[in-house]
Amino acid sequence: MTNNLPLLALPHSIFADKASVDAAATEIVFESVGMITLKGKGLVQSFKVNGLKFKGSILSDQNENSDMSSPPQMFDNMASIHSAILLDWAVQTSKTTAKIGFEGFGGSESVSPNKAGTPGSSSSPTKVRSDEERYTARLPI
Amino acid sequence: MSTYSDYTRSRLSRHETCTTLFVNMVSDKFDSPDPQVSLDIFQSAFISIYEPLRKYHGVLRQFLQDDKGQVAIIIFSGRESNTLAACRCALKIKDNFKAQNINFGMGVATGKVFCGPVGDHSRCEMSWIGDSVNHSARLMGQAMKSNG
Repeated sequence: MTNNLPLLALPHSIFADKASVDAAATEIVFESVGMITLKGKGLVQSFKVNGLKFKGSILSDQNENSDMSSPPQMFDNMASIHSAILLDWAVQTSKTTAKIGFEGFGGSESVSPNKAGTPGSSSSPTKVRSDEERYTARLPI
Repeated sequence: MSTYSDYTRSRLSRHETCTTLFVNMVSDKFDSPDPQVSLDIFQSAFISIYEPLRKYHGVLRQFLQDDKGQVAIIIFSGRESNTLAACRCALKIKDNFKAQNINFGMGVATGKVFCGPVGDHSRCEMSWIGDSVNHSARLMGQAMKSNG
């Protein structure tokens, strides 16, 4: 497979909206590109991000200022909550399955052969369950 | 019914001022006939994005490849200097791409968005949904056009 895309010239552009410019204009140099038409947005005022106004960064303090709920922290929280959900699911499932007898994966349960509808086959006392029964047995409701 | 999903939503879902950075990359090497070459350039492009992203505490929402090229969606949230971090990250990515001769366009937009987990206990992912996210994507498209 060959690619016909030309290697474009490199006047790389970073475009920003007005809210971003207002928030970052103390450190970043923006150049207005005027009103441009964006799909689904119509005419909007846009700016080109040119570079830094000076060397150094107020962002160097970000590591110390991490008491706010940053996205990584949120993911950590979500991971712990997700673990709690899984544990809750496991507990509820075990409780539910305990009521109807342990089903497990390929395991047998205490159902009489006659009820299971397999007369004469006492060596494999398994009951054929409907899909609905299986679903409600395995999910916490 | 378990109420954990409600608890999760109430704890993590919020309307927050976030800055979204969209990055679109185009290079003929991405579609090289040699898969190893494509993989190498793809990997180096990813690293070019990910290192500044970590430095400025961004979150990589998605890194995908489609007919429009390679697109990375990066979110900066939870800090007062989100926008500044996003712009500086964009400038750093720009330097990295220049060194690799990768053409690109980027869009930065700040605004209030919904931020939180979307899904249930079987599958859930963090999402940022809002007008500024869409705005950023459009600015990225415009930046690509201006390059070409």
